[in-house]
Amino acid sequence: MTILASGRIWDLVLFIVLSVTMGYYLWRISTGKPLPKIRSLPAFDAIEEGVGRAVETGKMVYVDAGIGGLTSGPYVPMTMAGLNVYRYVARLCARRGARCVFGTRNTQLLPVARGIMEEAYKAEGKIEEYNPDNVKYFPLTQRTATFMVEEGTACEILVGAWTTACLIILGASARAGAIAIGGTARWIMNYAFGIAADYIFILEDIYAAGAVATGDPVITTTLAVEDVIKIITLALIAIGIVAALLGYDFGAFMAL
Amino acid sequence: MSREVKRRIPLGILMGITAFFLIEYFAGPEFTAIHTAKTELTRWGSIISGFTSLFGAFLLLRTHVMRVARHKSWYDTYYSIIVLFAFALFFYLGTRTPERISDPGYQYVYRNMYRAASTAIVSLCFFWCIYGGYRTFTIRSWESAAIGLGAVIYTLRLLPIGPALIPGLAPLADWCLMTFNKGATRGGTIAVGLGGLVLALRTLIGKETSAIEALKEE
Repeated sequence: MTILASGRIWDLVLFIVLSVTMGYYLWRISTGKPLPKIRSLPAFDAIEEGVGRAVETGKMVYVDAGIGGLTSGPYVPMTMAGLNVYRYVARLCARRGARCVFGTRNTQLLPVARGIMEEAYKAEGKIEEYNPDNVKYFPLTQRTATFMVEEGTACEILVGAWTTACLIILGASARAGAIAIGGTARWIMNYAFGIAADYIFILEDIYAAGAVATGDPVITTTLAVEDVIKIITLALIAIGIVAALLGYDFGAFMAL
Repeated sequence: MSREVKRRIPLGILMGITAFFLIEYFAGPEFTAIHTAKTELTRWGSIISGFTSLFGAFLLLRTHVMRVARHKSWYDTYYSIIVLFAFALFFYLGTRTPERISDPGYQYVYRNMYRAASTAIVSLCFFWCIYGGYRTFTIRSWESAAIGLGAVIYTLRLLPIGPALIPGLAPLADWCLMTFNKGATRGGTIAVGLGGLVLALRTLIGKETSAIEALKEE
């Protein structure tokens, strides 16, 4: 009887290493030991600047979590990261008195986005300022762009799964004179943010931003866990190169 | 039900299902019950997904009905009426006719209105994308400079006139694509995969709450 599915031994090893590292950092938190320092993300720091600008100019902060939903598909983690950033922005806007607008083209996100905004205003003790109309459904990106230019935008934050359509919103933000902050974990779309956004979250930076946005030390510590695994992965790549040069089939060994 | 309990129930479901899917991923083929349960849960995922979309559609309809009722501006009312009318038309033709979505009326509206409008909008979208890219493309960092240079080289490579004017362009562009791009793609894919894995781990320990819209009590 095979307990483990074939070809998944290394997956299990990786998962165990990940869990042990996580447990180690959780233990450090519980015993009050110092935690690794997380480098600051310029794009994340720019959010405060953007919200400040919205307060000064009286224009809105536009947030969008991309095309993904929350129930299935490869875009779920990206959408979750986008919603974490949105929660942070909504709360910051509620605290400072800026107008925060969340736009989506996925009806699944409408109730969640409304809930997040309502909770943000509740948490800041300003529930009377909460307006459900600030969560908007835009079936077309062109409509988002028109809305941004018409209403005036001080800052736009696009974190989530994005397609080429993000260029339309980024173009509109340039026209509206807004600070553009954004990123996606979709490799193919990073060029768009690279050329058109003022501040970019490169690939998995969006997960880091989502973690930092929560302000929870346990969550930010998971970024250190990610770095440990990255070092192991780099070591495995180096070993694989050496093994290949020496004529060993390292690929077959890793496929166990 | 207290707010904390309301928060804990979905969090518990999320953690439990994450743990179950993880076990299923590693379980050998002999554990048929686990694999069957996973298939069933995935089916339920599709049902819940459909339900949430329906719930979102309901919220959307409510917003538009309220907008028409408030009648703040002619512009808003006009578009809301179109949304409500289109919804009612598709709903009637798709559910109340004997042949449902195969009904000739539904097919006529779908082909001649919906599909035509969608095609026009998607086509326009490409023009807007180019316009957006043109308006915003400035070399403001090393990253954008690298992306811009790559884009210029590869665009010239794709144009017939590029390799005709610059003989070494085609091999250079192919080398960039197969060396820089492929290496970076793999690095990026690994990094994104690890980011997703850590997010899954956060879900497993109940720390990832973005999907359940709850803020921590302070």
